[in-house]
Amino acid sequence: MSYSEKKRSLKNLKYLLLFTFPALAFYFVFLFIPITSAIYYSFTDWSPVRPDYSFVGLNNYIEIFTRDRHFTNALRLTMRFTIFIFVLQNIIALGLALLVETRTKSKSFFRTIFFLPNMFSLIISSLMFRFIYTRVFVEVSELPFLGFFDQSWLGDPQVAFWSILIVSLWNGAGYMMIIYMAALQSVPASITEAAKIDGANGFRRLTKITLPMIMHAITICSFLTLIRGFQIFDVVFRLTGGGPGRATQVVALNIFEEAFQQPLRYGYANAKAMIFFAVILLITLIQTGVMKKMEIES
Amino acid sequence: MKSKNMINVCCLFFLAIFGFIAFFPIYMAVLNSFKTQGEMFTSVLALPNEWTLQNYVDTIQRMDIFRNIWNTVIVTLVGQTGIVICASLAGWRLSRTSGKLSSFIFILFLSSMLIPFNAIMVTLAQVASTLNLADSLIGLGLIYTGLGTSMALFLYHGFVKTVPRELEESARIDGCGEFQIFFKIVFPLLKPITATILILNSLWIWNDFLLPMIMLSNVNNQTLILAINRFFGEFTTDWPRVLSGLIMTSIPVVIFYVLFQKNIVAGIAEGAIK
Amino acid sequence: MKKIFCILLIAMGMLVFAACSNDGSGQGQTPSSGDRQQVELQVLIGQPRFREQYEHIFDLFIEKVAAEGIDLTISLEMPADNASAILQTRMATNNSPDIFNFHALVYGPTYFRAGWLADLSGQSFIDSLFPTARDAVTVEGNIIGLPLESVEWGYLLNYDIFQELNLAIPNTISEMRNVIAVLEANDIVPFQLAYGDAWVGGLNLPLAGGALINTIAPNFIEDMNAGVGSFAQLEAMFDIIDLADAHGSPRPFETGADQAAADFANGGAAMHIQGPWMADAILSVNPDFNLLVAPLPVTDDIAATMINVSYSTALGVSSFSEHQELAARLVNFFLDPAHTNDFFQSFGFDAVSYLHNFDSHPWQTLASELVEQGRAYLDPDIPGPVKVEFDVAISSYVAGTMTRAEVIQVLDETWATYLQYR
Repeated sequence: MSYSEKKRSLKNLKYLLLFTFPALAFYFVFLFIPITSAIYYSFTDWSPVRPDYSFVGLNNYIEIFTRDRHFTNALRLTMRFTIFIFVLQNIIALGLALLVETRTKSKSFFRTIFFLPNMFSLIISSLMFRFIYTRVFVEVSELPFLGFFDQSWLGDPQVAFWSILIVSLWNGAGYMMIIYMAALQSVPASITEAAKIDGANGFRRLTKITLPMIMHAITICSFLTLIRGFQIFDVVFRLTGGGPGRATQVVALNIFEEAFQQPLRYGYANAKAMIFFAVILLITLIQTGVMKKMEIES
Repeated sequence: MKSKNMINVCCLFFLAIFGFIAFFPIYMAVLNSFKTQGEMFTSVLALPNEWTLQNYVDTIQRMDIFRNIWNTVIVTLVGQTGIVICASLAGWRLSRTSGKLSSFIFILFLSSMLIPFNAIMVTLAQVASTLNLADSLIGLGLIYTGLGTSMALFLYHGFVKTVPRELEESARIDGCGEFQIFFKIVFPLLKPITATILILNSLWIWNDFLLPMIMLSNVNNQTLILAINRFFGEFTTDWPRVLSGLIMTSIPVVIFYVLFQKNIVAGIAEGAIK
Repeated sequence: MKKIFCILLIAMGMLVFAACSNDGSGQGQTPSSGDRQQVELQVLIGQPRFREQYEHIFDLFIEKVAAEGIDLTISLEMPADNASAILQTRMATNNSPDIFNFHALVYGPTYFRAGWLADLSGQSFIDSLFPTARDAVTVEGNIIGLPLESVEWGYLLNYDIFQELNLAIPNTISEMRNVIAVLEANDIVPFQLAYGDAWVGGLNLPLAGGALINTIAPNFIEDMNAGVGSFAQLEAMFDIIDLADAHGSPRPFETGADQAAADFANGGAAMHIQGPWMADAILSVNPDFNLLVAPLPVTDDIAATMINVSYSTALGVSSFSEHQELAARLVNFFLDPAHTNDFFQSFGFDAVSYLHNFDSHPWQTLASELVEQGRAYLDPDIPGPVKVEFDVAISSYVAGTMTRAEVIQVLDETWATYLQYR
């Protein structure tokens, strides 16, 4: 390497560090330190009510999986919820996108309507639905043929699961619909027209042409619904508080309870947080694996 | 032709049903916020005999709503400024530099996007208190900078690749310094992606709940979402008043939506596909 | 574009600077103007329903110290739920309020041992306290707070209904069954339920559990603290829980404490397992309500049908406060001889001090009588985490997702964990 080249690369290095410094500084303080110390504390019995702590090895993790029924129940519930939201949200969003795309003049009107719920924060959505579940549905159920609405929407553990799901769908479907609509618009009309001329019916056109063409949107939406579904917190917090009992307590709420509502065992709470992290990581890895495979195929 | 009409009617029918579902809760909330409590008890579904604004008047007095809006604006402003500055500087430079170090730093940021907030909330609260950032609006904004930079950096990094290098090169030959090049030439070219980032982050920060709940405890520091959550706790039995609070809290976002609908929609599609 | 960027950069810098300088000046203490001292006290009290009363007292105090040249501002925070969690988070993050409320018996000792509470031993209010009140706020010889709320409580009756139907107040659980039968024969819902707030169901622990601890399981607390006890000793308390649940108001999980109080006030049910601290909420809905506090029957042993005497809310001064002296004075002010009768009556709290000479509330007559007869017990010393767990577990139990055995097991485990970390 010549002298001038060396000098230039040194200069490049200087500017690289200079320009990335602010981002790296924030990264270090608000991401790197929290995640590394969370890993570290997850192996201790650190507690805010005691001045010192000691290493307990894998004890926290062992306790979580052998004795902590609340956490394993929460994990199971969250996975169930994630699967439901993944399937339903994608079907509804894709369905809405397809329906809205059939419109010409009223397209933007319907898009506005369906996307509007997403503008409301999850806390506000949950409070609105609290009102719907506890007041409006009581009255709706008195109308003819609508007796079905007479449910203990927030009090029955089985029904409460669906109540939470409904709020999540109501709030989130519009967002995914936007992504699907963008993908649908990029499908060239000429291809579907050609298939139509070839005599392919609507359903065949959908499965053979449209869906493969928007595969990237499907994978993205799948990823987003899985990740967001697993992280659900706000809706449960405000709608049922995890109740009745702990019947709707999701993982994020369980960690929150351990860390902030009975702040006795920070070390233990961190161990739970790390398991949460591991699951998210797993979902992401599987997702990227699947995406890569599909990219190769297409 | 007949079957085509049938399909058309079917489509409209489903659209109407879903439109009803999407709009019904909002309609109910708005409707009942204009009723007195007595009237809501007689019927939730019916139109009020007498429209009252009393709930809104009470809520404005009780909730200190303008202060809460201002607080949220401060947090959003600090967070956005931090994110745009940090991410654009780093994203551009990382995209323009090849080499192991550059890709290492980029992967560092990329991998941090895997960290879910819930996994670090306990220790993040600790870090914030050590740095005296707990219960401070600016502190919260800085935390948002830390949490939001990675995603923005990723978007900038991708966008920079579509921006031709030639302009920068010729400026360099003209003797411009690197910072000058960035501010004078590059940053203006990044405008479209900056707009996308600002919109996505506004929605995120404005509607976020868990992080502010952990960080802010002083009543004077409440963001809008915290304030409405609290307001609900104080007036659980007075639904019309709570609903008026919900409506007022949502007004800023709905205005934002009406003004920027096109950009929001484009931003979401863009942010997702990258 | 560069301009915009520069402005953003400057704005950012200014904000960061402002944040730092803000922290530097600490909480509240702003430079004094003239001779007057400017002080801000942060007060965290988890009783939003008493906001007006507290604000009134603080205003009087602000006036009082203003005459001494202190410009006092008080920032009052009243979280609606999870007040103790908010307090604990703030403590853990070095962000302590100057004054806060806490449950004297449940959290007092823990907070004091954690070093959060300043010792108020030298304060003048102590001399006027009733001995029981004084004991309730004494930990290892230190006075950790001013006792505000003392309650003699059991469960609430709509006494008009009892009188109309000529019903005697039940002394045993069998008598309770008869009462329920008569009520239901007259189309009256026996129990008002409020599972929407888990703590309401949690009241069964100090009530039914407390009665058992003071009769059939006298060594329960010691056993538990020694690691040899079990909640199985208190299993009998599930009987009354089941009974109330089987004969309760509809939609219990969608009914919170406030809503239940309103429904109860409107004659929705004859009985409500809830404390007299809701009297204000009930009477504000229906001023003519004939409320009565009665002892909850738990078994067929009349000796177990007792009144619970508890000291709950106390006001403490943070040991981290920069204005401890003034904060202590403010706490002291609640037992100021000139005002304290008004204060305590405005809250509807019972007397805790010899200074208090107001009549007790009409709904407390029976409870006071029983306390005088000795049919009462001091609120059992159950650790905070166990109480919290009980709230949730009993909620699961009435929702049908946990069995008795599971509730007992989880409570035992929670107590064991608590011992580990004590």
